[in-house]
Amino acid sequence: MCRVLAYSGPPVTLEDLLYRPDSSLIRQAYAPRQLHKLNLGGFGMLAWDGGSAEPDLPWDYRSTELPVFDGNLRALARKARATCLLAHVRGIPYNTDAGFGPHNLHPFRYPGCRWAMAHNGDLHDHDRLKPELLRHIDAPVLKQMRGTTDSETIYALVTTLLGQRAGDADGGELLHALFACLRLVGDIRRRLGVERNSALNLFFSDGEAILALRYTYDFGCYDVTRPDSVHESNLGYLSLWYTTGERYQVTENEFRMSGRADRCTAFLLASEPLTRDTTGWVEVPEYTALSVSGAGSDRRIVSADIDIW
Amino acid sequence: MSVVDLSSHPFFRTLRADLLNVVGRIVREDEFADGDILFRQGEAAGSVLFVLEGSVSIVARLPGGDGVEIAQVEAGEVLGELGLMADHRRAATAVARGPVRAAVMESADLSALCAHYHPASLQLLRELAMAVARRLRDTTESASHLVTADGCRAISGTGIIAPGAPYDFQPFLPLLGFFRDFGPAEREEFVALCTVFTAPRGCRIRGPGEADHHLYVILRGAVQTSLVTDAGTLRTAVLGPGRAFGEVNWLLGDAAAVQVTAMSQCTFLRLSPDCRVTLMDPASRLSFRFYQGLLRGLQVKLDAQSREFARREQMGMSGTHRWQS
Repeated sequence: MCRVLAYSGPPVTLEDLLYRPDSSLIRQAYAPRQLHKLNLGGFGMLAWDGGSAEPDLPWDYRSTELPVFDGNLRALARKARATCLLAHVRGIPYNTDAGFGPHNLHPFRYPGCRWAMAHNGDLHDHDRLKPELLRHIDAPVLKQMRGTTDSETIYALVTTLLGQRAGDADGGELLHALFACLRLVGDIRRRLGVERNSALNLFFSDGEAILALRYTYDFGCYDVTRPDSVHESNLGYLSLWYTTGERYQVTENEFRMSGRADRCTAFLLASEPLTRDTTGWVEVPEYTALSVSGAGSDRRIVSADIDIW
Repeated sequence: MSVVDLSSHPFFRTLRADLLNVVGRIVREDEFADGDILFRQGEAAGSVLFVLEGSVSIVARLPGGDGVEIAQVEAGEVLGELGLMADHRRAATAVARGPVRAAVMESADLSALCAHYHPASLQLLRELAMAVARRLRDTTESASHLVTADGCRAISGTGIIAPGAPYDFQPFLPLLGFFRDFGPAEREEFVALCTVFTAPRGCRIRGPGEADHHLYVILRGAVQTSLVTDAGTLRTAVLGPGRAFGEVNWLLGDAAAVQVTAMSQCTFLRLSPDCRVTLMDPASRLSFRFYQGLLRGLQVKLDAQSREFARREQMGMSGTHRWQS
């Protein structure tokens, strides 16, 4: 099911985001608190540093190693700082058909595209939907697909829907394409009779702005023929949380946002809070799109209800 | 062992003297001076407080911000009723304004009473459920100013509710949160008290203002609850399998404040308000299990709703705003 983290704000070491909080993303790979499955399929991140050479070019790090044992990542995280980060630990079924490998690691970012994407969730019956979905993906985009997952299919669809604007589209255009994508996938699901809980918590970033969806098709619709395939912890709505403030740092022995409430220069979004103390975090409501854009005092957080069923 | 005198506190007014005496033995009385912290935001909870004397200020630190007073709790009120939830952390800091005397009930002590099926615990569970239900109702009613024209649209559909389920739901009951503490016999007994219904996608299960006092437990599918006003629609919750709705109306006998619509084909159990008496039988284990499930669901709902409304309020602050679509 994966866990994702997105950050945008003042420079912060990757270690402070990925390792040091008591429920950090790296810890969520083997001890998530709001998911009953482990996320052992690998780690990937894109990290932008506004003060670096070629600031639009992110660090791109991917490894199928378990991140908690990855010395290279740890060493990098101690030194490197980011003004924007999109990081992902991949959760996959515990079998040989799960598509384990570097080609399926998130985030996705095709050359020439402004927006990178990571996914937390699972499009049920993807194998059955895929031939239909691929018909809606333009040939040049299709050519760039490397992986086999539902997540990359979604990314390729959104890229196709952005069309000529894929390299420049702003948050509003991206949201428009995302909603079109949700409708398209929903129509195909209905046509093929797929009516099963499928979570699409999507995270996008262009190195400064962040846009995310908390969305599920057919929430609560489990397989009525197989009680053994249903687990209580899978019956809830997949979580998504954020926290915002002037700066993310250790305050009173705990990582939290500090500074004035009416400033939101720093923004942190994650599948689940990075700390056991969740009181500084806000849960994104179900069926909501959330966006943060602009820099410094011009930063704006915007939310919208999603009415696509 | 000392017995705390709780007779002056309205929360306990329905308890018989002998049961009040039992409760008085499991709570402790704490005294606080002006400025003392009763509990701190972010710390593990594990208790509920009953203010016997004085006034308490509730201060919340918003993400990235300083503390803001959000409420005052006076003598005779309950403080931190979500503190009995497992793994709950205090959502705000409670500060004594002048001298305060409070009775503190630890979650472990209430659980011990429940484990022994003590009649006092059934009464406490019911009173706590009603206290949380009242808070939930008040929170919902106070949110009408958050309804905007650019909120969610009402889900449209024309289908009607039909009796029966399209599948054998019995094997799935142990997986549903509402039935977590129920044994097989209690599940069977509870289902026998209910009627099973299925609603198609888009079906309006109940409307605002309707005098529907049934309690519903979702078996499969999901519903949207929403506050509907002339200004628009505000989604207040999305509830899936194992969650209940209509608890406030079932417990308090109020008319429905929110509209409930099926988001997908939805199968649910419906419990009549006539069962209120049956489910307050201290000789029946089902009564304890039922109120434990009911209270847990209400606490989760109040916690989520309070967070969400606070988020929407914050969206109105400088630096953040809602999408203008």
